[in-house]
Amino acid sequence: MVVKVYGYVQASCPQRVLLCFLEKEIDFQFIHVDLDTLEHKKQEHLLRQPFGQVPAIEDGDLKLYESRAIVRYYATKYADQGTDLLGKTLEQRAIVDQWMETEVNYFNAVGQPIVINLVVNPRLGVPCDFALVEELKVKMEKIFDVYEKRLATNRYLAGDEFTLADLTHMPGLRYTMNETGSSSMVTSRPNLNRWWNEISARPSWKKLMEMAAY
Amino acid sequence: MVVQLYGQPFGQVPAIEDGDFKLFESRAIARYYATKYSDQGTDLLGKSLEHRAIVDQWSDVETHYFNVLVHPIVINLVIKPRLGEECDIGLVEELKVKLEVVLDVYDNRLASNRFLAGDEFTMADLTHMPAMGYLMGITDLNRMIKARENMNRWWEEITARPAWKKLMEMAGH
Repeated sequence: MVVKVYGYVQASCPQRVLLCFLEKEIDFQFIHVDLDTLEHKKQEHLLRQPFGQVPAIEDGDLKLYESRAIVRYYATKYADQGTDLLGKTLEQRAIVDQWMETEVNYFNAVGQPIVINLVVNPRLGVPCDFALVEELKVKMEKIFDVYEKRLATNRYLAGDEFTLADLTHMPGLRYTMNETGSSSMVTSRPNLNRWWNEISARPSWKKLMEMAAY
Repeated sequence: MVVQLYGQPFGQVPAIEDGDFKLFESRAIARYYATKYSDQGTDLLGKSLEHRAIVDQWSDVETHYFNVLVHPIVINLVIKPRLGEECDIGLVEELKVKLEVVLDVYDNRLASNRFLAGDEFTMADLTHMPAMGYLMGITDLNRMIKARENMNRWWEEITARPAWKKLMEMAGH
């Protein structure tokens, strides 16, 4: 019996989980939850994820939500299979955690409202707060400066190897490079650009992009 | 080895330096020390891999559902007045409506679980405490907790812990 992933293949949080499964060569069954018809707010889905969001997973008796908790669990459980996404020593794992937290508290904190305004709101017929988007883009430039400096001396965010620290950024960065019109923020920074080109060339990412069929 | 606090590249606090090892992001720091000293003091992480995943899940819930609402509420109702800045009352009212919905989920969870991740106090509960402390200090908001039997029971239990009392002493509350 394989793990079931409930989500929407073009949404960033389910993509985080799918990318992890592809890197770790974990078989899964993807079950579409139709966000456009608000299926995620209906009772059946609320039993899996009480805040009405995606993704959620079911793996035998284990039910879990929160994409970053899910990827950490599977990266740990399947440490010996597929790509090692965690780091080898306790200290290396802490550095991976540090940059996973950075993704949440800096990159996503600023990036998500940009995506909501520029990508999601138009679909819902909700007005875009363009002034807010401009403010957030200024903040994002400063955040990317920190990443640029980090990636000048590190091939990946946590050091020499690709880990969850890089992986968790990728779905959000895809928006940066596409719908939000912010790709120059990455391409103008040589280290950030080098890093994005390298991680988005990974076979698992290409496979995910095929599945998402933009 | 005494752990000291140093700066971090985004200009925020905290950051630690422990010998040669430097780290920032409070949850990464907490997870590192909880793992390194798992046999000492309270076991904050969870015992099995699955239990640890549930601890992580509720720790992430704190960031994405709880703090995302409480932080701007506290900024507007507590911090801005101190700085002589105008509070966005409209925003606060919107956020309070959303917070009621989120707290219902917590209350439901705590109806069948003593702590957020199960039978034991873990990082999932701990990570909520600073923001909860602020929320409970605002009369209009602490009634949201007091009105929910299970949340109220949980808050009273976790704030009775000696480590919390010690922290409150240190913070001068």
